[in-house]
Amino acid sequence: MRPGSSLTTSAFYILLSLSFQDRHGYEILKDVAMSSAGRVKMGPGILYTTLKRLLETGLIVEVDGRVNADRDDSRRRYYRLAHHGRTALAAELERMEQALKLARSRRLRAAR
Amino acid sequence: MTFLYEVILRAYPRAFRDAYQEEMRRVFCDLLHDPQVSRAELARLMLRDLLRGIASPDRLPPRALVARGAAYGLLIVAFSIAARALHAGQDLGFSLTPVPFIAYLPAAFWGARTTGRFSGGMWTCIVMGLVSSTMVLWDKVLFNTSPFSDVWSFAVTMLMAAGFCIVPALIGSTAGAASSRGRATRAESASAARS
Repeated sequence: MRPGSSLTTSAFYILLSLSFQDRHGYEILKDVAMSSAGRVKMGPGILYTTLKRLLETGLIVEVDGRVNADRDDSRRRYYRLAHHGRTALAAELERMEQALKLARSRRLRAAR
Repeated sequence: MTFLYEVILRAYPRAFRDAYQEEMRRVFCDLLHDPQVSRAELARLMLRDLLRGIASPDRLPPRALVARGAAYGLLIVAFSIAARALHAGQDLGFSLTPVPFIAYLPAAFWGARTTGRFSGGMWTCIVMGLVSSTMVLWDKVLFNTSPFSDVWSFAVTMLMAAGFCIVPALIGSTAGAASSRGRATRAESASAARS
């Protein structure tokens, strides 16, 4: 994933999920399914190949610390959005917003 | 279902499995016991995971290797066209038929030597073979001939070419791995000498 290039759908939703809090794999899966209204459903394979790519590009980092003591599972790996990832997510949201604005304006013009 | 997922895990490259298979198993078990996930949905996710594993980018060869393999293949095509155009009977006092086959030997060695992996040599030959097999088409278009009597003779020729690649690819990968170790040892010695 080159800096400045747009994110894949799964990468985008994973970054969005991690922008709220650190999460482990299964939590990410559930959150992505919920925040995409069930449109994006990943299996463990797609999840971890995407996480690996995000780790390699420095958009996320693996963390040792746990978020909540009552739901901690020491066997699980937790992931956190890195600064570079937050920037990439913001840029992607900006790009989507621009595209949405453009689409809306064209639709309005077409309706006239 | 768990057994099936173990099989699916085998489709992923070893390095990836070593790093993530424990986590993947755990997430799969979570999905398996999740009442909100139906069996049909789980089966769909498993199928997609299988496809992702098979088509993993880690399994694909580097772009430079593909380009070099394609260039070798084009050279074979050019050689074959030139040989047939200049010497229609292919009679130069010796047969030209083995020449393209011989070209596979250094190509397999080079691919394996560069990458330090047997698969590097085989990938070079696969790309080279795919490009050079277009010769069938050129033969038909340019000379209105067909070098193969049927599909089977074409398949057997391609298998023979693949067979030729195995030994040089093995030698090349051994040489590549040995030179990588040599470079690493020299780099370690140099850094030790500096410090």
